[in-house]
Amino acid sequence: MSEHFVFLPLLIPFAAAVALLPLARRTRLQRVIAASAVLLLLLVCARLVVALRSQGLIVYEMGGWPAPYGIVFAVDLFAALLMLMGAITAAASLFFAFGSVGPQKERYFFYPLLLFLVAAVNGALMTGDIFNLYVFFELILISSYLLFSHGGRAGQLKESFKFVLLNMISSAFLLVGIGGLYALTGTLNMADLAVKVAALPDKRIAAALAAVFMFSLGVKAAMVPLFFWLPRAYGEVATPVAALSAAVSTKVGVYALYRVFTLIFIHHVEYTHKAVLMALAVLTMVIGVLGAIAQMNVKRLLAFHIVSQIGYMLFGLAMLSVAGLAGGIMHIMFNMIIKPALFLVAGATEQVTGTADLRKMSGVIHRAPALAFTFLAGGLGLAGVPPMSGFISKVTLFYAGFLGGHYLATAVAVGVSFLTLFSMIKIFRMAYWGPQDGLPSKQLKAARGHGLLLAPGAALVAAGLVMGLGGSYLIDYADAAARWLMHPAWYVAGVLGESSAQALLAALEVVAP
Amino acid sequence: MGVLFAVGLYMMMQKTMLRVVVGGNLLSYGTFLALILSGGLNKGMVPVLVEGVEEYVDPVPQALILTAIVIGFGMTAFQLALAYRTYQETGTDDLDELRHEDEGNGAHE
Repeated sequence: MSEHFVFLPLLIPFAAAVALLPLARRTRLQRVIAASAVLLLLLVCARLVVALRSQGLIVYEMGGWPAPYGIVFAVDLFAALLMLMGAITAAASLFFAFGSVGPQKERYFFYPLLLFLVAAVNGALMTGDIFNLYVFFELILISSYLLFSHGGRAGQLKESFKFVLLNMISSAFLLVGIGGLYALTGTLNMADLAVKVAALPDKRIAAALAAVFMFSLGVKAAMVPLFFWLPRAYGEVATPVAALSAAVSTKVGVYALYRVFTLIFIHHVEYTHKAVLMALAVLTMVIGVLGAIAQMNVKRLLAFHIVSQIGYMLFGLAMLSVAGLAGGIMHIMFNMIIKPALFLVAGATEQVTGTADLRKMSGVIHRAPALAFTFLAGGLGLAGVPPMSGFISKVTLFYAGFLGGHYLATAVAVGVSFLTLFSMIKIFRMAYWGPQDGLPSKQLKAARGHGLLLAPGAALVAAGLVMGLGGSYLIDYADAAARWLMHPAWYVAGVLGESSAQALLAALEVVAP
Repeated sequence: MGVLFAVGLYMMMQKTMLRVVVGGNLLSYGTFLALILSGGLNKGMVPVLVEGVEEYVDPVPQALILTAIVIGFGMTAFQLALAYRTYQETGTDDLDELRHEDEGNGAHE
């Protein structure tokens, strides 16, 4: 495998997006290029995951400048797994977009924006430089702003404005945090930061900076109490955009939290992880699911479930044990598959019924049984019913919770699972079950051509199912990724060399005893 | 820097969109200031290492805020365009009024 191979996940979507820009009028050609780019990306990511299972970490130095002076890309198994899931979702959203966005939007750079978003996400996952992370976050946000406001309906514009504003504040704080870290240590390389922060005699400033990072990344990850922008914004945007954003945007925030809080801020575990993050994780789960239960708009309801599931991922991080992180990683992966699947199926249902309001839908199952059963499978998977992989990740999280002695938080997590199930059954009962008199006859005709819209969602649900059935492989990979996260010295050794890793270990020894 | 943050955040809580955008701008200026300070202030020094120069200023924060300013500039332009389009579509630039329009949309909260 060539040394530059690792750079491809960033290069492919970026190059394809740039190539698409002058082709705005030729929609068919655009579709072909976008689809082949995403499929190629899928293959590359799969290859990367397999390579990293044995290798652990691939470091790519930009321009050949050695770390910590140059900017490095350091891809570990965790990042590669997320990139793979992101690529799968991007492919599904793209194929859904073919059938649903319409020529007007296609001509106004819809596909290039989608690809820019994918490129930026991959960049954020791969980078080993904290300022670079900020830059990729901004790229993700700019492409999502444009996608969110794409089409320009009043509701969309309004929600985009709030979304932009909040993320601007969070980015400002992220920059302040980065500036603070730089002032403290004089480096921006994440591995180098880990070593230098560990070697600080007085770590109280680092703890304050940890709070700044938690705030700004928490906004991006839609953690309670910073989630309020998400449900409304996702309720308004086009379905493929909502699906892709649901899969990747918030998860990148979670990824950054995982990275920063397993590598750099690991010196006050008792209160940063076990107290603050744990409390926030539990609150996020509960408030997200309660918000979902109160909703009647399908997309907003699903968006609240995103928030609730983020809670589970943070729960995994808050435990800071191999089992907890492995459960969290699996949950992130599973959600990156199943959440967009539900959004896509709900979007297809919306096209069939002509409304997103649950009270107005009824009896879709008579017209589109495949749609109904796909949603049921996905919804049950989200609630954690076997054999979907959500079951495996949740069981791992609960197991880790009991192992770590977090009985209360684990009990809440189990309870939230039941509420999730309840909420999924509510959608199924109101939208798909029941008499079909709720639909005007014009819509009944439209219901015929939903097959093309169903396929991507069904494929994602099937992927979730395969991941569940091949659970032993999944656990194997997630466990390996979690082990790498739990051993920051391995990461440091990969980026900076063995001597720095020894320095980190020595510094940790002094503090730990 | 604290003043810029305070004024920026205060303005972001205003009702008019334009003020909100300007507030966001001030907030990011505060951030730039924080960034440039992170390298330590060293007046009148060169940012490069040359033979014979012993005192120099750290060039990294300068590179950082240059990047941040460019991003902030693009963001402001986009926000202004977005605010203008919203005004065109809804006929108001008052964020409170935008909220009231929302009520009829079906979802109860």
